[in-house]
Amino acid sequence: MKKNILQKVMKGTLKELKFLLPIFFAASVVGVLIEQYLPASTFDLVIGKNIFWAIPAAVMIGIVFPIPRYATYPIAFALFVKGVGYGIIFALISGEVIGESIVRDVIELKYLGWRFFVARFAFSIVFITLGGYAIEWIL
Amino acid sequence: MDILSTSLISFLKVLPVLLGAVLLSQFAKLFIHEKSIKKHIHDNGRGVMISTAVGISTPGPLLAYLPILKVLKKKGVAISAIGSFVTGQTLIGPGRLILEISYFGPLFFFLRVILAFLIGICVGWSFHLLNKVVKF
Repeated sequence: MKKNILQKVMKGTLKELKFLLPIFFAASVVGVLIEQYLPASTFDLVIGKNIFWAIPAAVMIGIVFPIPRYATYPIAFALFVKGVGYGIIFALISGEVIGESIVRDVIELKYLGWRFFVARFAFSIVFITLGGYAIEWIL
Repeated sequence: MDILSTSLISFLKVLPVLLGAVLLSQFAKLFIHEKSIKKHIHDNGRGVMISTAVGISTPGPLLAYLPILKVLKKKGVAISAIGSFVTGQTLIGPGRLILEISYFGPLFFFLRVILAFLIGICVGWSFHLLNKVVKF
């Protein structure tokens, strides 16, 4: 029984890693590129100054960019090192997870309908933005 | 070449954490069953809070839960409960715990869980209101 559980866990882990590792490595490269080549002033111009616009923009970037599960972290961390605030990090990570992949979005549309899909995205964008402002204020 | 080696070092540093996160989510996937999710999604106000909490604690991709959510929706589970479950499930997952803490610290993760819970409730509540004028 225990052997069976372990076998299932190992099989699932290997399957997940086979998918995740190349993407995660690619994300690490993107993270390093941001860290090395993008000056801190770029982020000051784009998202550093005006938090009011930066947080909803980060939510949208998270949704639009096709970043797979867990791969946002190296990129978000590189931005964090560059001085981007917690609110934007929160918005970016949360935006990424609500619109994880086109495949999932299509299946969600098929299963729960377009009205549900559109409403969920709209509500999530609004409340994640508010959450971003809250976390920026708290930390 | 320098970028590749720096990326490889950065990748290898996070690899054990990633491995731990994937292993944790695989274990949770085995021990948290569909039946327990069904049991906790009710058609009432409290259901929104419970479905958000259940969504937050369930591992794996949302894709795995979509078929059962369709069945629950057809069987009359409130759209508010489904909306809050999906929101909680997508925003936080057990597999993210180790990874997120290692990058941004426990306080950030704790706040993200609290906010995910509140966001899930707000989304569920919004669905409840919208359901009065729009048929889902």
